[in-house]
Amino acid sequence: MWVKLCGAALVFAASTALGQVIAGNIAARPRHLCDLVSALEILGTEIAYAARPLPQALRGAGDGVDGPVGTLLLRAAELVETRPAAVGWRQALAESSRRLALVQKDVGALMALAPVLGRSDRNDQVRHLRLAIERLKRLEVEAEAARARGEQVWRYLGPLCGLGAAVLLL
Amino acid sequence: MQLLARDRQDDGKAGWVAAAARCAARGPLPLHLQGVLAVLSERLRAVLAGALAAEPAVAATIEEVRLRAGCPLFLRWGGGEGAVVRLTGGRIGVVAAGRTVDAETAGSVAVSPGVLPIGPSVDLVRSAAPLRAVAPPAACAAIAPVIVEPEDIARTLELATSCSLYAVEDQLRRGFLRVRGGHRIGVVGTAVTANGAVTSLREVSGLAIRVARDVAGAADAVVPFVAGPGPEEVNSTIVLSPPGCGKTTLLRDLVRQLSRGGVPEGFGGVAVAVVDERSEVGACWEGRPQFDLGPRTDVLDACPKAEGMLMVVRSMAPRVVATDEIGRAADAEAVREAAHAGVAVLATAHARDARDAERRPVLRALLAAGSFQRVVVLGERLGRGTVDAILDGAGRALVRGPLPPGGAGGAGGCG
Repeated sequence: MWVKLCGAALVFAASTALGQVIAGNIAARPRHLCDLVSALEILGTEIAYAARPLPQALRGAGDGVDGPVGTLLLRAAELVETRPAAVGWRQALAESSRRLALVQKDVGALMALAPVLGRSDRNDQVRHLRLAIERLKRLEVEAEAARARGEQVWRYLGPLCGLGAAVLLL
Repeated sequence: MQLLARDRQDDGKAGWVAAAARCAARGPLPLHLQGVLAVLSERLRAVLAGALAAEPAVAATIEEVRLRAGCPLFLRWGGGEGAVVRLTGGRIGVVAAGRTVDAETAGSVAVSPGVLPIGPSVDLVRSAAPLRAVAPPAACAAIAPVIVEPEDIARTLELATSCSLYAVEDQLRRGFLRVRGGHRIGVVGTAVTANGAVTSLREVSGLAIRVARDVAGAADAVVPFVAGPGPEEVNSTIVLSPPGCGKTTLLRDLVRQLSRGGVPEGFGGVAVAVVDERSEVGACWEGRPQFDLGPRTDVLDACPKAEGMLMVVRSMAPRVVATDEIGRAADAEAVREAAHAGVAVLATAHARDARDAERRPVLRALLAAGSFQRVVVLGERLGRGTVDAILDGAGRALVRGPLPPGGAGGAGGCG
């Protein structure tokens, strides 16, 4: 009996945790997108007004935001010093994808910057950054809607499913 | 290398071989060459490092590295030029171009595996075909020039600008980039224009990396005529020569020695302001000069010459203003203004000699007005930085050259 009870408790706990993680991801996505938007805004300013070389500009943008988005930019700054900008940016994105609660579409918007970064004059750089920012903002609205729908659902669904499974098992 | 070295000695260019040997003995490449390698694409970096290691003589006097898409990697060094080639067994060497040595005689000459004479024209090297037919058959079973790929140029451009073309827009518009260490990279490609003015370059097809080298003592022969006789007196001086004869190197050392003082005896050193429009004299990087310009030197970096000269005369109260490559009417005006303010001017200009300078309206006007008390003419007869003549303001010769280059200069210094 005790063994059964312990097993049921474990099932409940695991299910609850899973629900929390999924809900956390859903809640984190709009936050990360928002951070990305501000980071790219800073990057645009660094490029347009200070004409700072890409590694410094990325570092400036990375210092400007906290959390995984800041880490992403700092890592990219580090990478573009030793390899082509496109490769460095892609690699930084790939390395940070686990820490970022982004979906395929969001990553696609960021990847679109890879062939562009640093490869044209200031106006063009700013135009491309603007485009990416607009895409990210649209995705942020979408992510916010998804959060409003999904976050609470998953927070309750996790423990409830766990409870159901535990009852069945007992 | 032996072949090259012998040629140089035949021309009376002694000291060169010793300098090369010094370089080789020193082990790792000198700092200025490391700076050049750092901006090359990874593939070409390995190739050039191999070529310089194989040819210390070339490494000691290298002046230019040329990248042209689809063409061999070309080097220009003190008195020669050639292509980098891959020899049998994957070794890297340098083929001196433009020399006529036919297969029979070349076979009997002691040819080092590094430098192979080929001839008669550069075109042979330019074609990507193996050079088997031209070079002595025994020495080179299969020599293939190292061809510069478009990707090499793109990557080199990225490294030279730290992946930030936008940050060098203004420089690119004028056709060159500066990189760390004071080296200058000339850029050609397709110009993008707007309203008749060049806004940028795209599809870059060629890069010419000019190696900047700091030669302490390059101005030793000139300083006694420029400084003095009073402890703070300096004669306005213009340095004339064709491109690539060491004008900037001389100016840099002149600035350093005037700023430091002590030579000639009784000269105390004066405040020098350098207006460094193309950042070649001081090679500023992140605001600080990379070359030692002496303790009393202020550098106004990347500032247009004419405007900058007036700015520093007003703001820094120098005794001497130095600037590189004057030639426009506005520059002449600024030189006159400075002279009126009682400031001596050190300048350089492109001209073969004093007579050639007389043919240029701007220089003629300056010389006629007596703006310069000294005219230094540089040549290449005894190597880069040879002083051909030093004249006074009236055109009388104070020194008739050729004097050998000062310092470790044209003789092939490594630093």
